[in-house]
Amino acid sequence: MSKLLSIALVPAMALGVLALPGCGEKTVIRTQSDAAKDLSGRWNDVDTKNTVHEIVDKAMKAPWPERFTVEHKRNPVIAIGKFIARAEGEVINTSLITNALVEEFVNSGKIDVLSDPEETRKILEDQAAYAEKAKELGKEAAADFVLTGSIGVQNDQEGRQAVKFYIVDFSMTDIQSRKLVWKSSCTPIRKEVEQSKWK
Amino acid sequence: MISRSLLLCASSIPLLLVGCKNAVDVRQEMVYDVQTKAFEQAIPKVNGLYDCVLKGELPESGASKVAEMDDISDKNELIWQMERGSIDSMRFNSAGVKQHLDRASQLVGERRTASLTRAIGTYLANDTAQEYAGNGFEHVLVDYYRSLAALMSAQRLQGIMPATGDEPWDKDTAVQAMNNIARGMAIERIQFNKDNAPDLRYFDDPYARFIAACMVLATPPELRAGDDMGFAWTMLSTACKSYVKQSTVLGGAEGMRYEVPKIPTPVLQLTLTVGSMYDPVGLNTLVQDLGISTEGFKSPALGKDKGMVLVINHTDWITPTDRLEINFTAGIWAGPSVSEAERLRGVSVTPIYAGWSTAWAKGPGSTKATGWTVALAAFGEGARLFGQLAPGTWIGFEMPTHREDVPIAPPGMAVFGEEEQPLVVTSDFDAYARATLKDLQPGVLTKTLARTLTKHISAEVVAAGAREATKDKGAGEQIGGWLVGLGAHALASASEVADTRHWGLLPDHIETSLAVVTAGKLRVAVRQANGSTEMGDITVPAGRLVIVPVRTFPRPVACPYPGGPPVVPAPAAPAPAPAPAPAAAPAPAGK
Repeated sequence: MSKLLSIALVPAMALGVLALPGCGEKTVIRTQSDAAKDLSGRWNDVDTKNTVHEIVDKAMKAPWPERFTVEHKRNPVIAIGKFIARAEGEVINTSLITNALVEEFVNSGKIDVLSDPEETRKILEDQAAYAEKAKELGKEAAADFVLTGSIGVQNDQEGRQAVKFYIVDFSMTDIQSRKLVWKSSCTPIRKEVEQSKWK
Repeated sequence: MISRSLLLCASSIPLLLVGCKNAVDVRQEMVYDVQTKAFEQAIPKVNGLYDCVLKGELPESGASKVAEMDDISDKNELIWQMERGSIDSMRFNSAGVKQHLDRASQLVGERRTASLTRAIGTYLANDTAQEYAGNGFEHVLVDYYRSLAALMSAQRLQGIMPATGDEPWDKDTAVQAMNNIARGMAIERIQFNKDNAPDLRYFDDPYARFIAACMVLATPPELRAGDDMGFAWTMLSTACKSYVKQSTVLGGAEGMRYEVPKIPTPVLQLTLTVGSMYDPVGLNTLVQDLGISTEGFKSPALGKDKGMVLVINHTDWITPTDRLEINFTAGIWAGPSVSEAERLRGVSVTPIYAGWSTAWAKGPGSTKATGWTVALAAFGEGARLFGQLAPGTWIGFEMPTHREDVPIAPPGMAVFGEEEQPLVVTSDFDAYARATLKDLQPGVLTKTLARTLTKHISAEVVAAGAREATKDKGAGEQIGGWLVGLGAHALASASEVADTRHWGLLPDHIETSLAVVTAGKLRVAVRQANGSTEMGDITVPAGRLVIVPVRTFPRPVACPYPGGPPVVPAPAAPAPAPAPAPAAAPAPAGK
């Protein structure tokens, strides 16, 4: 019987040891806001920040703002349009991207941003009608260009391994002429996620 | 020696007594409460069943005090979130659906992979000891309901449906959410199921693909991405192929009815509409490949004054998972009875008498287990005769099972203004549940038998030890030794509880009807044999699809309360919250 008891006790003790690592207090570590920490492989704050920075940087280096400034003797006014995101099972807060874009463009001092959301909505609903109205308003009160973008994701998954590939495209359209004045993409963001077999 | 043996038995109790025998009955009440819109009565039952509660709610039915903080059990969190999401979905509470099912979706991602704790728990106690991980079709449906909640928010925010209060998303994010969640459902979830459970008959979900396409057509054109229409077309054409394949795999299967024998008319209508706009050549090939007759189908291109309306009728209740008990008593003629509540569930008893012993099966369709009871009776009585089993020994185990399938109520009509169109069965969740359980049953049975055998061998070692220790003692101690043996076997049997957990608030099946209508205000309703369900007026935008979900019960579940539904007293008010201490530790997320 004592042997039997020992046999019964061994798995019970082993279970106890397995259960112990689960008992612990939650800890919070304060980090720098630009520190990259990927938990799930989903779009996160660092991706938003890097993307916005790259878009603004590329926009400044493109020829269209300078060309416009030389021609019109003032900064171009842009409206920040829609950023449409399509990512399987993932909802990306695109308003964070558009808000950050407004901030970075305004702070650049070289490109002005249409701040009235109602005006922006009108542009997005019907650019042709807005262009007509803009002529009446006078150039200073209206937007000259509209910036739109898209975020697409390519997922590749095999078993517990997944690779996510975020592609961000954006383009600037002249509201009056409806011409595309600039189109570019950000450096693709690639994330590898591997789930362990046992948890 | 007896005291040591007793200690061994006593120490086993916490490990063995896991699971609750009356969960099946409580679930029946929960379903009835939700059906009668007694949501506040159903919520404590869901909380009690799965040991989870939110602050300010009753932790179980009949509790006198509400919970002072959230208390969520890890083990059953997924199923609790699913059921709570369903309740909020029926209340058209998108914020509640988002809260519960977003978390459920996260848990699906975590739990569909193997878990060490789950595996150990299963082998030590019973299947109810493991974390609920859900089935493939349930994983898809978590995203289905999330996507539908985002769609409802988006439609309300666009003025298509009347506003009902605060929404959890702004319009653009709601539109993005309904599309992206549906994409995840139709691509990632289904592919994971295909990769990880290729032998199951639930290998694809054509309805999920159809809905993912519908989300694109319900998206305002200015919020559509460049590849949205391509995606919609791919989903629709894949859905058509999948419907054909599934009808051959599930149609005519033993013990179940598959109610979607061919590509449902609304799916075909939408496929023709999108295909003719997006890929006429591909559509032609698809029609030829599948041998579909397109005669009589309306697929008009949506003009400036036309829109489409899809009514989705979530009908009746999915079959509940019940339990089939198989028992043996040595040296006793047992005659288990069936209560009225059990009889209503289709429970029967099939006993086999062998010598002085009895083996019996009890549960829905107990005659199915006659082979098992005959074998158990013969083996057990033999063991008793040869002195290997003491008189009074009880050996038993349980298996999850389904009640007998019955034909669905004939689908009714969808009302679009002055016109009516038939509803068509577009997805059969009940068939998926039945097929999945049937496909998993051999594995569950093998594990149950191995565990039962191990437990009873251990119990018999204890019993033999107790008999040996008391054989030279007085009559009182010998009886004590015998009782220790019986107790050990009884504990082993009582601990073998079937895992009947399932998402019980899902509908039995989905019926849909698609109509091309004049843009503008439109009355929508569903007319069935037992009455009409009014969905009120909607505003259909030109060139777009509007989706109207409905929940109906043409075959409602019967009231499970013997004296009629109970009147529930109002819960006591929560105790005032203590003043927050500086740098207080966060409330624990689990037990």
